[in-house]
Amino acid sequence: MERRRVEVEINGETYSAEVEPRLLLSDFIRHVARLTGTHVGCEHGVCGACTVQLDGDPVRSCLLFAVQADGHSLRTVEGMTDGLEDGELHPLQQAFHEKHGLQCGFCTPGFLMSIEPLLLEEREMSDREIREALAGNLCRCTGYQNIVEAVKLARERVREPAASPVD
Amino acid sequence: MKPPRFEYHDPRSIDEAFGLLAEHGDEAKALAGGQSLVPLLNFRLAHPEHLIDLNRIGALAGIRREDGTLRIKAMTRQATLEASPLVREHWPLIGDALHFVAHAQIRNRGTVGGSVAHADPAAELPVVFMVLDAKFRVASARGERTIEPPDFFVTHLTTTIEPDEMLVEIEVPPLAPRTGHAFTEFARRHGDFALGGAGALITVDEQGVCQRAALGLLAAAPTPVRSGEAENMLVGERIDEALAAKAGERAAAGVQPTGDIHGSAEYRKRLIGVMARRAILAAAERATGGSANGAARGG
Amino acid sequence: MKLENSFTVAAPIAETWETLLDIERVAKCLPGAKIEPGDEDGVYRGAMKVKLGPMTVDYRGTARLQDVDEDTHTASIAVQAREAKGQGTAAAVIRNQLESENGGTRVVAVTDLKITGRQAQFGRGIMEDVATTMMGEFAKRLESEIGSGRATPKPASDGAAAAAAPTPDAGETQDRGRQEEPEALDLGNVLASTPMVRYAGIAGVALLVLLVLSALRRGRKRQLTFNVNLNR
Repeated sequence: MERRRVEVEINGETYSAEVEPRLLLSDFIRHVARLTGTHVGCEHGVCGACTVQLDGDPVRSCLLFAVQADGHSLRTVEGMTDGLEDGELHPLQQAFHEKHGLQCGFCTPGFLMSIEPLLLEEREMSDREIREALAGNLCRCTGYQNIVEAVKLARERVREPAASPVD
Repeated sequence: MKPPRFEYHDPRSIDEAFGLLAEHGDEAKALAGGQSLVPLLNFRLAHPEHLIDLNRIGALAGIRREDGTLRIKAMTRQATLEASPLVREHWPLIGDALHFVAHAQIRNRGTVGGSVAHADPAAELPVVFMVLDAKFRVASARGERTIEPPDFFVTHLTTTIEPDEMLVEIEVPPLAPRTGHAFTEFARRHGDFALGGAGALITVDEQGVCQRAALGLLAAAPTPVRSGEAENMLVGERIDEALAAKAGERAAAGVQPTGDIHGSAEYRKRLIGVMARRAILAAAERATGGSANGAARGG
Repeated sequence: MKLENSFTVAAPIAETWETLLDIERVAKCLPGAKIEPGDEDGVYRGAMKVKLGPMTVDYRGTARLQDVDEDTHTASIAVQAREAKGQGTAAAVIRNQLESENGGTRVVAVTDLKITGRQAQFGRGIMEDVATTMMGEFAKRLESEIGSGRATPKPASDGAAAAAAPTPDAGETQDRGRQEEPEALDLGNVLASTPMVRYAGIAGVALLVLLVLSALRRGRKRQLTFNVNLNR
């Protein structure tokens, strides 16, 4: 299989390699870029563990080939703490931490990447709407309730930082 | 699992794509959003010799309205269609159906044309376009042709697109005034493949009498289907709960879904009747209440 | 799981029986299938390539005739097949019975089928539908085959696009030397009237092909090779 050169920007840094066209983006991120925060669960688009942001939109990296990301810009979970102080967490990560929205953490990066755009949603979101928005990510540990709470808290904080300060 | 080997092509123009399809035909598969095809590749249930990636052809995506007709280019992302104010306002059935299409992450990448060409009978977009009496423009190096939905869908995952052709655009006619819409489906979890679903468009006159009805069913047959018998029952009548229920039963009586571990045949048949009833009733209520075209009731 | 399928051919029982003993003619009624001569133990090797939409499946297996009784026109075959490129397997025992019916012949096949691998997760309904459809298609072609008295091969694959393919002419039945990669059986064309659940489950198809092919064939050795040329 002919190899192709790809250049992908991930979290602001460019990663370049010669790859087989059939190399999945999830594998490129983990094995070539060595960013193992992105996890591989089902490899057919259902579980959401591999979710990253491509040009700002959450997508399944297991359903993209690395060659398709050539020239594009990706954000992975590692990018969430870019520009923050050492030890400081992104508001969404902080909310997950406070509300115990993770246990083993395997699904968490996928959730974070999927939810981040929701923080900017202006409109009010009901619990049901939040749950529907989370339906594309599976979690085996938490039972989802704390994830929903984490999302609500994060949204509150992003919209009204003074109202629910971080301890 | 990992995908098998293939020759990868990423044409930059429509003509280049046509050339590749003409050359490789049966040995090739077009890659649109990949949300249905890549899982098949990852499972190694599909092994095309050539993969023709259409994602670098900008000219294949876009939405516009021309003389009242909605023209959706095949590579338009489902998310783009969902967010389009033009589509929300004039063809709200589409947005309602897209709400049920998998999840946002899938819609960000999945394409409108890809979903139609993939022709899964449990998919929402094929049924919606059937209900809307849309037309599919299919083209190749040899020229282009327009196909209507009944002549387009053959069976599971199979359409009348020839090996050297590809779907390039979907044309949706404008809706008549006083037309109400509704789409509903049932799945055990939001975003799963539906066990049964229905989309409906009901047009009424000033007295609220149904002039036109379109009812489409998903996951009821090997293709999306319109229930002509149920539609005929509704025309010329004022639609109330009782009539909607009867029409729903008629729609269910006309299909023989196959059972499996997710739902028996009897269950699915009954479910489809219920989905049809709900869709008909909701569409009729929208048509008779609300604003001029009955669509203002919203989501 | 148990599947029961039957179809009727508008030909008398003796003629149907004889035709079905001619593996070459039978194989032509099943595009996508390829079968090799039986060995000394009466074991036939076969291959079947099946296509539905973007999916293809390649099966390789053996079929062995057992309990053949010409007087009652019954025969059973035991089939063992595995995916060429995967770990899936399919095993079946199919009992076939011919009966005279209104001047024609009714063929009844009762199958005991066991599937493993990816296809297995897709449940019972799909097998039944696929089996039923396959038999229906096979019956149509077989009927035409018997009626014409000579090879009348249909276009092999491609569903609706089949019209574009030139159909092979009778001369090709003489061509026994070439071993071709079998054209896939395109289920898209064949399944047009049958509900089918989520994808795969194609295992049963290849099974049935092998079974119908080998069914009713007596274990006698053949001198000629019969690698069928399924060129379209």
